[in-house]
Amino acid sequence: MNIDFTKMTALELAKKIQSGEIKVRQAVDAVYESIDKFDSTYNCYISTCKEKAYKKADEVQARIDSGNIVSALAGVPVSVKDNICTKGIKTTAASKMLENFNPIYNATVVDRMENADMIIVGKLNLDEFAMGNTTETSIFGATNNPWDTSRVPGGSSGGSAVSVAVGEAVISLGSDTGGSISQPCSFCGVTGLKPTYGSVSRHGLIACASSLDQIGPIAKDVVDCAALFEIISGKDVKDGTSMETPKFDYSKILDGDAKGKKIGIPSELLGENIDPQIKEAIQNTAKEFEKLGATVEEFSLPIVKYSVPAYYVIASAEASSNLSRYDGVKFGYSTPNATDLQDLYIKSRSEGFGMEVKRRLLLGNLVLSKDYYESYYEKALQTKRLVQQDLLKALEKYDMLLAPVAPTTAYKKDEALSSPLDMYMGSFCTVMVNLAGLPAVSVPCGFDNNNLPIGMQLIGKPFDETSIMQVAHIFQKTTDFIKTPELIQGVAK
Amino acid sequence: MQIENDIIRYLEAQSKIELSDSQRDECKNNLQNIVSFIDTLSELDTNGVQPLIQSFPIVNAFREDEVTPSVDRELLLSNAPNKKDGYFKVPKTVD
Repeated sequence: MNIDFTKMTALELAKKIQSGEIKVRQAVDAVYESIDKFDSTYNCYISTCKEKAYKKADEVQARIDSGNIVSALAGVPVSVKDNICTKGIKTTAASKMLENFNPIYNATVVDRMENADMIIVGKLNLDEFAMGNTTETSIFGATNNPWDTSRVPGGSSGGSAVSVAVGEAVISLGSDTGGSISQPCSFCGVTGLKPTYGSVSRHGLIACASSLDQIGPIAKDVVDCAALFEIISGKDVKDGTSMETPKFDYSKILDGDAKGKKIGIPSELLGENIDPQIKEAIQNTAKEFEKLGATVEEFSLPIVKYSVPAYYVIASAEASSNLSRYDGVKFGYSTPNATDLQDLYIKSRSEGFGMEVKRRLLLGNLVLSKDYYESYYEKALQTKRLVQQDLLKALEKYDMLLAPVAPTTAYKKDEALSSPLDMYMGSFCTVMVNLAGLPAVSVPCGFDNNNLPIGMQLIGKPFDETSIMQVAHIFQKTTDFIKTPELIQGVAK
Repeated sequence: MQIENDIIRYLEAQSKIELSDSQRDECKNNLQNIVSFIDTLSELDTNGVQPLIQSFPIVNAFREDEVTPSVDRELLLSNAPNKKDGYFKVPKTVD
């Protein structure tokens, strides 16, 4: 049977599997066939796990055959960003440091997907340790944009976004620290959810910046994202920052309404540094919402300007602390050339980490050092509070906020890496969401003159993923921006 | 602030990282740009603002004081680059 994942959502596949029209093994076959065909062009995957996948597929098939359907996505293959631990399947964070790291436990989200009878099929490429927004700093090579392979897919969840865009995955998991789900979705024309901080367990996520990191789904449409979010969300005793929240029910997003909703657009996010074509796409989106019965207005959110510097201070500080665990002793890369213990630490880290990681470790240690702690780190944490206060205040007036996901569409390769500061500015529209801990759904809303996708985001109140996804779903039902790129087979990476 | 070579060297020591001369030059330039950018935070009036670390208030999580199985030692050591007799092995630290 010919199964084309560019033409099928995860829930559509699930229905066919659960009704017996497609066997679980056939769905898994189809993923691997697509990977064989296209991954040499796009380089989404770091590894696959066929043996485990087929074993699980047979177990799930037996349950389905006996009429036991344990979740809406039972039988569906899922691909996972390679900074999320999978027991017995290498988890590398795209770093030489963890090239041979074989986790001895599953991340909670992986356990939850397995308990929901989803099939883990492979691990997806990212920027090294999720630090970047281009998926170019991976030791396994760059992932390529599906709409123009000379461009980046965004990042750090680039592998996750591209795999869904080109049908090498039906649905995937990414992680988001400062836009790492939203921005690649925008660059690749797929849909993603960055959940409220605390709604998804971080247990087993290789830490980048712990107070900002969240795992979330990437899929073709909002309904798929909602179905996977239902499976992975909820309090976990293994993550002290995960929160007790009412159980999310994906079916509720199907019957939402935009009528009467008040939507605010921060005018700073339609300012000079946003590409005019993106502005136009956002304004058209606003008109679409008005047609659907919502009221949309611009308002001023001056604090946005300070969110990027505050973000990079906090993210680097936390990363420098989190990554101190890589010492060449307990796990990960260890230099063969150490003369003493200090030398073992220094050489293992110098040889094991790439340049962007090193840059952030230095920056992190700078802002945490005695002389600069107050003026940088503490100042950034105060700014974080102001960002959150101002966003929550705006969300008292509006039901949700509408904004672009990124100031530009996908950049040419190497462009961003040549200037780290420019790359950091690429996060201009997204980092405030992470600083405030809010949920945001990233949805395709247009194309520029180069036929590159443009994304918009709806930012919601804490733990109210339902409202933003309801409105995003109506938008996807009434518009036609979910497109498939023209796929290229078998080009050298 | 001005990023000089001695600051970079200090940060390398703090980070337990050693850069090559060319990497150090590159880092100096990058960090100078980034720090000048971060300095814009000083424009913002944060007088009396409490730093925000955890996005939403959480309370300490207690559990019953019950013995539960911990991870098997061999399994824990399975990713160790060097091990001996159930221990992590490192270069000699005391003469």
